[in-house]
Amino acid sequence: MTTPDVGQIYTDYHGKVMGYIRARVQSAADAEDLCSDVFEKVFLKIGDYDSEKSALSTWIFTITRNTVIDFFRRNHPSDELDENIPDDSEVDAALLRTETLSELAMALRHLPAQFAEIVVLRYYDNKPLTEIADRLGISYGAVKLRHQAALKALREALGEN
Amino acid sequence: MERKLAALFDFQKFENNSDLQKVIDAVHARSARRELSMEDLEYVNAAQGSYISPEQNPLEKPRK
Repeated sequence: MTTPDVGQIYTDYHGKVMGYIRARVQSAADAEDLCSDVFEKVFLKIGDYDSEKSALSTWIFTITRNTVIDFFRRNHPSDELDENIPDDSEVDAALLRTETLSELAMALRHLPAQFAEIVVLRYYDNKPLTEIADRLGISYGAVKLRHQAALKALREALGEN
Repeated sequence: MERKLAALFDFQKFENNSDLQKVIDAVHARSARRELSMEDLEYVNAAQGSYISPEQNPLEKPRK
């Protein structure tokens, strides 16, 4: 197994790491510090990286995500831990691959447009169902039904029980 | 499934997979169009509500 080149990693991933952090941390200075922390960890741990366990992108994403979570726990313990960062401790890291994202895209394309819309607003934009109901101009009950139907269809499309 | 979707969409914010981004952008465009048309509708309703015909307007002089 060859260790990836750290200079190349910085070039390839700086934009992704910074983009993810900036979407969650308001202060540009904090974001810069966090970005530096991420790459420090990446460079320190690069010897432990196992390409058979996960893609490099997933490995760096996990370090980035955990660094942001630690930042919120450390500096804003009274704030809600950014709801936009899901607890994915029960999600298999092997799932987080760009191929899975493409599979999800295909599954969403096969859903009725109003179902796909609810899924994106709920899980990408992190909107509560009540707000989605307002935005769509339909009742909360109707959104709840569509949401359940969309999850069922996605479970089937993605081969989940 | 909900945790899986939340995790995948969070990963998307890092990965920017182009296939999924197209779907997300299409949904956002659809939402924006709907919001615009709802605003238009509210504007029309407001305009209709504020319209006072000359016959109903007490400031309008009666025509002979």
